[in-house]
Amino acid sequence: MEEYIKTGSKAMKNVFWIFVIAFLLLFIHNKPKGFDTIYFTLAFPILIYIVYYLHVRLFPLGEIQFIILTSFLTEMGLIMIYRVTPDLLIKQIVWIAIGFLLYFISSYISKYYDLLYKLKYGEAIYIALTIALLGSTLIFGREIGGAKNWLTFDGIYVQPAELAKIIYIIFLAKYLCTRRETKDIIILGLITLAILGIFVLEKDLGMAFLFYATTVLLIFVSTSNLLYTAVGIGLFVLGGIISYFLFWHVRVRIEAWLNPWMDVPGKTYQIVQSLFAIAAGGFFGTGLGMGHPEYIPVVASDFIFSAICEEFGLLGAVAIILVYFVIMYRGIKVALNAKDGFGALVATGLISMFSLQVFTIIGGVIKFIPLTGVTLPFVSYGGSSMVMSFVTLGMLNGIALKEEQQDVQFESQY
Amino acid sequence: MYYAIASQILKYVLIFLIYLFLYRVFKIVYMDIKGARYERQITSAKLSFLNGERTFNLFEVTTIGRSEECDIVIESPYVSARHAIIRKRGKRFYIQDLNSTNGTFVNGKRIKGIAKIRNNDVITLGDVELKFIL
Repeated sequence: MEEYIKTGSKAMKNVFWIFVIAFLLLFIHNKPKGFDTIYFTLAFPILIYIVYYLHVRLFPLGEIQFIILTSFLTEMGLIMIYRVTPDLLIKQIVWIAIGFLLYFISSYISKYYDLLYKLKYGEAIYIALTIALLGSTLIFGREIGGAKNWLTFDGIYVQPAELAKIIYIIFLAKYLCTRRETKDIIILGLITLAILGIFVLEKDLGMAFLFYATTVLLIFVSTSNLLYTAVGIGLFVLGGIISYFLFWHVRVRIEAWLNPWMDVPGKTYQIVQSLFAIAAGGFFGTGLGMGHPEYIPVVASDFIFSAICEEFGLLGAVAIILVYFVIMYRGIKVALNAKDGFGALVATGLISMFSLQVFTIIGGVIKFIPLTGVTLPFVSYGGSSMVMSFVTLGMLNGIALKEEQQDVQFESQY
Repeated sequence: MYYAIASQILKYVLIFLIYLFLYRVFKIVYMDIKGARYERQITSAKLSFLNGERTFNLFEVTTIGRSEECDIVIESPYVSARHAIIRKRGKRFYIQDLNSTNGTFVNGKRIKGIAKIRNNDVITLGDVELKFIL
């Protein structure tokens, strides 16, 4: 255990030195206008050290790796955001601080996740909440960047789908815990179709894919029935082909994926700029401030991975992907060690949603799959996504803590 | 001009630091997997039925109960699903009752929480009597 924490502290020291070097360079490059930027920047390393220390103290048996990895990812995000759009830096640091706070709160709350299971009419409540959250943007929503999935409150933009993801996973876990007959799976399929319908109306393809794929995965995990999974994948392909002919925005995305050179100044501008940026980076990158990631549209949120590819090179980008793999590994480990079926299903759902999101956006910007607009968790600029990614990991930490409570008792009596 | 040179040099430093960080992260993962394997290591201690029916080898951490998940499965209606757990600490072995219905007895005395067990101690779980052999 001792050596464990020592290695963790060394990793945190590396995070600190990356921070110092990158921000010294960027301060020379950007010439910060006010002192605010400098103060907030200095607050970031202090924040992650406090969080690290508190985590070691409060959850000695918790998933400390989550803190180490998220501080690295958020830091890479901050460096890139400050590089491309300096104005967003302060907001992002505030969101990170709120995120860490919610991480601790959700860790404490989800230790008692069996209350979520015991709640009467739980399934009906969860699914009603999910649909209400998703439907709210249809009625009050505002269209940004081609998808109508935002709500505005006095200038604060929130994406209710981010919260709906977590509630939907709790619903799925509760439903699949007890009902695994063919009839039940068909009902679940119809519910999922209704949710997909909402996303299609909002033109939010990325989220539609995430919800669908997570449902299929969880059905497979809980029933281990290959037939359901095969039908699920078959329906996905069929749905993709139908929507290719029915919806204009799906067709644009898929055509841009198949042939990005057909309309470079127009429809395929984003993906082509992203590919140019990745190519410009090479192995070691152009060096901070030496590339031109600002040519890519929406670079601070969706395309941040291409910007990292350009300025940190292939090696930096691969490092980011490896960090996501370690988070995935920890998450699956939490699911395997969970104390009951419900906890295991919730953990599996949370980590598969998280990993699928990473896959969707990284695959999208490197033109491995058609591009859809979801954010890269922890790295992209965006409040809702940042906060909810922290809640996801916090819940996983809580599920992990529950199974270890017995051990804590043992230690104290011994 | 100077900035360009500094950025060119420092990009290698940054990549180096990022990979040093990754090395440490994977080292923690490695230690974690090794720790989990450590729990499954077989020790020299044994647990056998008093009537000599069967003998079990003990791991570093061994769970006993009626449930299939336990390391030692005892099919008796008086044994709880997860009845007790035996751990090795240093050279000594300790048994802990996991809030079982019928309790755990060492040499006829009901234990509360954790108790040390010695060679040839008789452990009673429900209606099953086991002998601990070091």
